Amino acid sequence: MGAVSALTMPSFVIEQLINGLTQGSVYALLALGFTLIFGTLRMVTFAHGEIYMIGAYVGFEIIRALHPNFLMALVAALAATAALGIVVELLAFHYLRNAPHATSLLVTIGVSILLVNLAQKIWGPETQSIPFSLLDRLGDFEINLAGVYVTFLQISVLGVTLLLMLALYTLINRTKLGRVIRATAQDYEAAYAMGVNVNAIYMAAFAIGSMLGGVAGVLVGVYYNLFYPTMGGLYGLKAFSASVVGGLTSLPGAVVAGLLIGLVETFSVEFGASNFRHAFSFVFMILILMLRPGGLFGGRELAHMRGD
Amino acid sequence: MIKKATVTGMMAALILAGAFAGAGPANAAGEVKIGLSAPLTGDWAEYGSDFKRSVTMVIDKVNKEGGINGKKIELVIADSRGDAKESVLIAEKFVADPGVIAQVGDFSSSSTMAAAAVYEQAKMVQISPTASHQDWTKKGDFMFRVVATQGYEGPYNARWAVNDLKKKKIATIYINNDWGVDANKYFVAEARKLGAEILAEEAFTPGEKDFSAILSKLKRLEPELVYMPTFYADFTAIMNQAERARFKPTVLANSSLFSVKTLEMGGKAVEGTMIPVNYFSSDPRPAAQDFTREYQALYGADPNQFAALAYDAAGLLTAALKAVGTDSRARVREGLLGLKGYEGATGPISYAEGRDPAKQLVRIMIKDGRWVLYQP
Repeated sequence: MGAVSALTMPSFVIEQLINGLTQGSVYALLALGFTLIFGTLRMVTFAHGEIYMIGAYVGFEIIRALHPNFLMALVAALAATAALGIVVELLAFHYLRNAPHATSLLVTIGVSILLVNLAQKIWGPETQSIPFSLLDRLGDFEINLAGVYVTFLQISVLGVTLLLMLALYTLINRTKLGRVIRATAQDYEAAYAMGVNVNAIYMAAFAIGSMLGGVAGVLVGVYYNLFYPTMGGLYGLKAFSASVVGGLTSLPGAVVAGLLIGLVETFSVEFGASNFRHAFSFVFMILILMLRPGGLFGGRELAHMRGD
Repeated sequence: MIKKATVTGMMAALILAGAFAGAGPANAAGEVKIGLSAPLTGDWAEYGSDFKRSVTMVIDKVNKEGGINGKKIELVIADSRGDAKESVLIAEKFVADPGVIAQVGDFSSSSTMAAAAVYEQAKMVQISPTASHQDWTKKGDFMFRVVATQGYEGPYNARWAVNDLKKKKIATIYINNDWGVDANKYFVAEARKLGAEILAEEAFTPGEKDFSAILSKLKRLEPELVYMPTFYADFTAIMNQAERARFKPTVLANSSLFSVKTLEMGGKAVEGTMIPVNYFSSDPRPAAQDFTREYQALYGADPNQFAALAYDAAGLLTAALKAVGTDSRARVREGLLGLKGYEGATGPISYAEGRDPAKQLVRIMIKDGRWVLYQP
C-alpha cells in the first residue's frame, strides 16, 4: 500500500483503522459461529445471517419495550438465538442425519427465507431504530484517542469479539465439553462408540455458534441503531467467506480473516472506490484463496487444535 | 401474441372511429370534458384519491366562475389501478371520445409513459402531476409534467449551494441507483460549471449501513458543503454516524427526504439540513396559501405534495383552455406553452419547448426537530 505515505494525517489513519476493525469484528464474530458449526458438523448453514438478524431484533425489543439496558439485551439475545440455533439444528440436520448433505443445505436456506419473512411480518419491512431518548440511557460514552474520538460501543464491539474468541478457544481446548466437541469433530462414530451423546454435541455446537451470531446482532444493531429484516443477508455472506478464507475450521483464522476483510473494505473507500467496497473485499478473498487454497489457517482443524 | 394482435386491432378500430368522428373534438353542446387517469384502487389508491380531490376542486371552482368561455367542464375519471396496461386502455377511451379535450394523469411514470403514444397520436395533451421519468416528456410533443425532476432539482440545488450559500468546496454522498446517480450527476455538472470544486463523489450500495469509512474520508477533505441525494433511512444513518465521528458538515439534500421519518430517525444529527420541495404547507406564497386553505376547508385534511401537484396540473390545464378555447385538442399544447410564471400551489411554473417545468422550488430546512421554511 504505497499510497498510505501520501496521507499526511495520522489521526485520520487511526480513525479508518478503528472503522475497519469495528466492521471486521462483526464479520469475525459471525465467522466464528460458522467455523464452530462447520468444524463440528462438517456442514454449512445458510441461516446464520438470519439468526444474527433475529438476535438484533430481540435486543431491540428488550431495549425498546422492557428496559434500556445493554447487558439485558445481550442476555435475551443469547437465550433466543441459542434456542433458535437448536431449532435449526433439529429441522435441518437432526432429522436429516442420513439424508444427502444438499438436503440439509436447502433446509437452512429455507429457514433463512422463513426468518426474513417472519421478521417482516412482526416488525415490518422498513428500518427500525431505537428512539434517541432510550439510546441515550444505554450509557455510551466517548474516549479521546490521540485526537480521534472513539465510542465505548465501538471499542466493545472489538473487545467482545476478542473476548468471545478467547472464551471459545478455551472452551474448545480446556474443557470437557470442548474435548467432546473435538472428539465428535474428529470422528463422530468413534465418539459415539465411546459413549458421547453425539446429537447433544451437535446441538451444543449449533447453540453456541448461534449465540455468537446473536451477540453480533445486538452489537451491530445498537452500534448503527438500524434494524431491518434483511440485515443478515450480506453480513452472513461476508462472514461465511471470512470463515472460508480463515480456513473454515480455524477459530483464529476466522477472526483474522474477518478483521482483514473489514480493513480492506474501509481502506478501499479511502482510495476512491466507495461503490466497489464489497467487490474489493471479495476480490481480496479470491486472491487469498488462490495463494492459499486451504485458507489462511488451513489445516489447523478444530479437531486437532491441541494434541492432547 | 394474441394479446398484441388484439391491441393492434383495437387501435386500428379506434383510429378508424376517430377518422369517422372527424378531426378534433367538435362538439356543439355547452360542455367540454377533461379526462383524469389515476390509480383509485390498488397499492397507490391513496395517491389517486389525492389527484381526484384536487382536480375535482379545481374544476368545480372553474365551473362556478362560469367555466371556459361559457362552457362547463365535465371531469371524466378513470381508474388505472396503477397498471400500465390499464392506463393505455383509458387513453384509448379518452381519445375516442371527441368531447375530451385533454387529460390529467397518470400517477406513476410507467403508467404515464405507457399511454403517451396514444395521446401523442391524437395530439391530445397529457399532463402528469407526478411522473418524473426523464424520458417521458421526450416521447412526443404533448407531454407536460408538473413535478420538478432531478434534471431540474440537481442544477437547482447546485445554484443554491454555489451561488446563494457561497460554498466552493463540495463533496457528495449518493445512493447508487438510477435516481441517485442522476441526482448526483446533474448537481455535480452544474456546480462545476458555477466554479465549485468537487472534492469527492462517494456512492453507496442501496442497503449499505456502514458509512464510517466514507465519513472519515470526507472529514479529512473538509468540504464546505456535503450534498446527499439519498432517502431518509440512508440519510439518517449517515448523519447519525457523522455526529458520532464529530463531523458536522453543512448539508444540502433532496426533496426525497421530506418526511417526518427523517426527523424521527435523525434526531439532533439532522438539524440544519436543507432541501427543496415542491410543496410546503406553510409556504407564504399566496397561491400555496390559497390552495392549502381551500383544500382544508373542503376536505378537512392537510394536503400533501401529490395533491398540490395535481391541483397545479388541473389549474395549468384550465388556464391554458381559457387562453386558447376548446375548439382544438392540439391548441391546448400552445396554451400551456404560452403560460409564463403561472402561480401554482407548487410555485410559479413556466414551460419551455421541453415541457418540463421551470419552477421556483420551496426551500425548507430542519430546525428544532421540525421542517420549517429555510432562513439563511
